[in-house]
Amino acid sequence: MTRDEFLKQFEKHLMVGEPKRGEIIAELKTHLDDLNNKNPSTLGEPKQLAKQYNQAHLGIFYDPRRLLWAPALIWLTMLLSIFGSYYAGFSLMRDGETTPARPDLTVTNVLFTTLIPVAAFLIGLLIIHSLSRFENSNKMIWKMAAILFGVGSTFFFLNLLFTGMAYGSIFTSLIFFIGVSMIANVKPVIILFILLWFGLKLLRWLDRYKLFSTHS
Amino acid sequence: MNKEALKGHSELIILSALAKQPMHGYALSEYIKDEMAEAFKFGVGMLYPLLHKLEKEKLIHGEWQSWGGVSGQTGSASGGSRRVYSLTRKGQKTLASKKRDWARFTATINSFVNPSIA
Repeated sequence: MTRDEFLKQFEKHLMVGEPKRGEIIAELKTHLDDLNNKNPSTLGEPKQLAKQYNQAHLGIFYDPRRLLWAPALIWLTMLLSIFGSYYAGFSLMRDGETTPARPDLTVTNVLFTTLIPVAAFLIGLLIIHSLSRFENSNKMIWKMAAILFGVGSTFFFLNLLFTGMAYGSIFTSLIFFIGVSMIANVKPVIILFILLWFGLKLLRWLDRYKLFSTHS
Repeated sequence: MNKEALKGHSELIILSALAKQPMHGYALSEYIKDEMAEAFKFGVGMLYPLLHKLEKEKLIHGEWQSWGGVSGQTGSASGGSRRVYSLTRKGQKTLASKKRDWARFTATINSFVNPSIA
């Protein structure tokens, strides 16, 4: 393998974005120059070398395939939650209601609501994977956006599951997504926001389950 | 010496080498090779990403400098600009800590395999 072939292969597999990408390639070129026409394969396989760099710079994002277990886990958890809550036989009926306020478990609803977070997560990964190859000095923003995208769609799923209102769920999820995105740089605020959100949801659910009443 | 025995101590070796003097990647690999009599030969596939990892952790600092191949120093055959790495203050502290750990480790192993010497 010639020097140029080695570099071409290396660049093809290097996922690190600019400006670091340019620095890595320049540094490798100087090393190849120092080798004085020795076979560059003494450096190992270019793909393997690029992988090592990707790992050093992108951390867990260096190979999106490694993160595929995460949406699978989310999906499994959600599926178990749906059927678990349904078959547990909790009655969500209020006084005077004649039909149980159980989730509307049609095949379309279940597939739609469980696949959205997974799709969102995969889209997020795809965005990260693509952007890491292009000039992007602050990849953290995109990572955060992908995570928020996943979280926002999860809220959509939860809202739809417990309220059955698709448009309302989309709206609240969007509000959540935009709101949190605006304060994305302040971790404690995000944590507080999420805790507050879950706290309010919990109160509502407790009220509906009649385990705790907020009405006098 | 068995290379396996030195696995996991690559960071200590790199930090120790850079504590002696700032070096670029190729010079560093040659330096380590010479000093350790090829007992622990770094592949560049391991060395450079490790340097970048250490830089990310702010243990070392890399800077592009003109490099003419200092006389008597292992390093580049050619001149030109090279990315030269040096130890940061945090790197010095980490090195001191890793040295202590290494000393404890070798003392423990010594006392176990050579109880009469210990």
